[in-house]
Amino acid sequence: MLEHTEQIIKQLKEETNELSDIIYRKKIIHKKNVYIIYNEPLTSSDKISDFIIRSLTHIEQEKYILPLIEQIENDISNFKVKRIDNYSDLCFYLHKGFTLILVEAATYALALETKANIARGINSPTTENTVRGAKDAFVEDYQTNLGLIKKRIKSNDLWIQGFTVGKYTNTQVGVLSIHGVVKEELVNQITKHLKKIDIDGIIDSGMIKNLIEKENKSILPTTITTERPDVVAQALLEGKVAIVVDNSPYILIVPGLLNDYFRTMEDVYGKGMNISLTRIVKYLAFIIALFTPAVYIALITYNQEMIPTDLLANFATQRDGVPFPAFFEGVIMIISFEILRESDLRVPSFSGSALSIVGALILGDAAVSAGIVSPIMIIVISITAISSLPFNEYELINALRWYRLLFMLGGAFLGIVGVLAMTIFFIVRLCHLESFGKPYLMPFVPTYFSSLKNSIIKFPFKQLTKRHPYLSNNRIKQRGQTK
Amino acid sequence: MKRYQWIFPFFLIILFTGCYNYRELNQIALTSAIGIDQTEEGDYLVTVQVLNTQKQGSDTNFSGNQSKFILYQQKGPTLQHALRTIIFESPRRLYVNHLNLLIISEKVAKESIEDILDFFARNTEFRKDFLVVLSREEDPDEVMQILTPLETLNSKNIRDSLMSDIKFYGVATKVTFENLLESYLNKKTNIVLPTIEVIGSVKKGESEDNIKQSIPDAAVKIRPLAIFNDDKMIGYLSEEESRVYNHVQNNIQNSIITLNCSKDRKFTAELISTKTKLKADGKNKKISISVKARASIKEINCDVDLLDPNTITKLEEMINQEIISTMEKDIQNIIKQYKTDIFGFEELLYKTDPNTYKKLKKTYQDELIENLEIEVSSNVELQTKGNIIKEITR
Repeated sequence: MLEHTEQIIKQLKEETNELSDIIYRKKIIHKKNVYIIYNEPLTSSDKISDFIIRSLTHIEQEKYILPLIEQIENDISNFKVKRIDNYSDLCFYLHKGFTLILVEAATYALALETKANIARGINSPTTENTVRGAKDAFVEDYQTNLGLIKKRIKSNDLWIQGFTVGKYTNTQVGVLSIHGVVKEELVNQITKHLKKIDIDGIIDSGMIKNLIEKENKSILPTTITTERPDVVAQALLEGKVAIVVDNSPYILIVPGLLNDYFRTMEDVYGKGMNISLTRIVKYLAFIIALFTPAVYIALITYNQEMIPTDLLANFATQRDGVPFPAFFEGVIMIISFEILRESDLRVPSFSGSALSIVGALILGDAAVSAGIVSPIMIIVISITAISSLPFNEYELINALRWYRLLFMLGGAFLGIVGVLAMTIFFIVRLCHLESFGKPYLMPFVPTYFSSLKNSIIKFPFKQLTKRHPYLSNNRIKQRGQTK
Repeated sequence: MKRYQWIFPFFLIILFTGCYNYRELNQIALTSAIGIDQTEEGDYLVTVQVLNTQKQGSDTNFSGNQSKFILYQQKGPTLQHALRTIIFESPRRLYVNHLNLLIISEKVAKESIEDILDFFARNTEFRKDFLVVLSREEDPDEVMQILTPLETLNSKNIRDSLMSDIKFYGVATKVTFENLLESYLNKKTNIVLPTIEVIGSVKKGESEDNIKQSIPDAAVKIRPLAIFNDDKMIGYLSEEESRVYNHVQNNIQNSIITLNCSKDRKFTAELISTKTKLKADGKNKKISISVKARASIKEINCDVDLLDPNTITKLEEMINQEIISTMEKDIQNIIKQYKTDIFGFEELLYKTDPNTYKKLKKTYQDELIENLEIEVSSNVELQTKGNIIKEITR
């Protein structure tokens, strides 16, 4: 296939529009033309001169017995050598940062790994902080990310299925699972979805997430995104599947269930009783974040009889002179908070403090003194705002906002009855939701006691001996027997 | 488009409900107390106490220079008419769900309280857990004008002093509208109401000075119970009789009792966790009341040896005797004087032995209550003697 070297080079030059980044170097060894082709930005010229050119010069001086290409393959001082026998592979390896050696009239070419290190070094996690636990985080490099996981699970059973997705980007996507723990149908389901993808390019794992999530209609997240290798390792041990995408420091874990968003790695390391309290607080925060503005609005515009007299008098005094209806007041405050949060995320950190001063002054003090909002509404929105943040999944934080508005609408139009109606709608929605065929409210609904031991209340670590039946057929976890 | 068809009915359901019962906090007048009096022409004179929820300067904390509450007064042929026409004066509609206190004047009570019961029971806006009291001398609006120092709202002041009296002394009884209605509808018992009275000058009590002084010019005081026959008030009980009534009703948990321990010296014991049990014996026409309590000595002015078990038994015996004699005496007195059953003895008799009750009722008719024999027993246990044992002398 690759015998006509000149022709191939000509074709390559044509297709790349004579791209100046691709370097062609011709060398004559034993009267045969040898071409060295590499993609400059992706390769390390040190490696090329050190290992390839020097070896070739060495070969040139020796007498050879084998055909030239085999001689090079044998003698070259490079560890990763691949035979290539068709044109498309040749292009693929060229764009991956390999150096190609083409020998005139040889049936195959050689690809030698000379990748330049253009990835970031491993840093500590930026979005998922824990006090206790490993401090390494994923980077943009596929192999490094795989390495971080394999470093934690050193087993033949850690199986990886690789795919290349994206017409132009040719992004590598790997599906990781532990054979014997994971349910095969889950892996099959994911690979089936991945194979179906037909897209120009995958830039980040977030795109894969949107493409494989079946429940696109729901705003609640059904996959876990993480940048912590220990989270991935723990999830794999539980029978979940991880999806690693090249160029993305975020790795997807499926299925992602509601309870998972209330768990951090500290939960695995910490003592059961202490973790339970943290989780109770988190679930409480979830409820507060959803309901506080709605219940407040419902109470002060419809169901005043439910507030104790003294408190009601207090509320009435505070609301005196506020020209807007309570619902509108709440919406103003929520929108201002969202603007503040979004600006805080986008703005460079050096102007962040200016933003918080202005935000705190305007949202807090000035709005009250000007009589635009009541102080109690500030308290309500503040408690809602801080309660909506302690979750590690950003998507969940964003989804809460919609439901909060929905509850507020219910409260504003029908009072407590409206809030209740929306709650029913919300619960029905949660019960209906599935993540890759697994019920979203698992282990609460359907109830499995062995898994409930690690939900809101975390039992002592030694008692958590079973995997969830929906995630694994091999339910008994191996524990160091310490009797 | 077809996928989102459900959205339209969904929004219609929400939007077409038309915000039933929607009211912003600054559109309602929080009513804390209502007073009912009668004019000479026979109209009802209704006084309403509304909380002043206006923000005062930058102070959001319900304090400042303005009056803490506003009184509106209207008269009308019916209660509802009078209440509704308050709109003439008030810029906001009355919001009566948080009503604390209903004050009825003596005049109305002597006439009939049936209209009042009917109105408040029928009206859906009222909660039924507000307290009902009777104002002795003064008109309800006069009572409602008195400024009270510790509580900014005088209706809350009255409510709170009533409640603490019930807890720690026992002259008043907690009569919510619900209780009142219940005992009124029960033909076998008669109703009582706690009463209040203004001490000092009403005129001075209305002014701001009343709460600026360390000794207020006027204050609202809790007085013993008023007693009713059907819907009409027929008299007032004495303080002792009121407490006996509360003892029989098992309303008293904590109270004090003062006795002579020698000829001219006294001692006071506190009764705690008092329990009263009533038993009816239809055949012997007997009602037996047994009081059980724990007591602790709070003050003793005689020279007695409290370490001696005999002394303790003696003191216990004295307390028991006192309870038995006062209760027997006062119950008989009340029944003789007013010829009405406020204790619910007939009801008890009916519940334990309906057949005998019917027979007795036939023979005695309305005089049944006077023919019942009342027997009181008391079992008080002296438990603590306080920090010192002997009397302090030099």
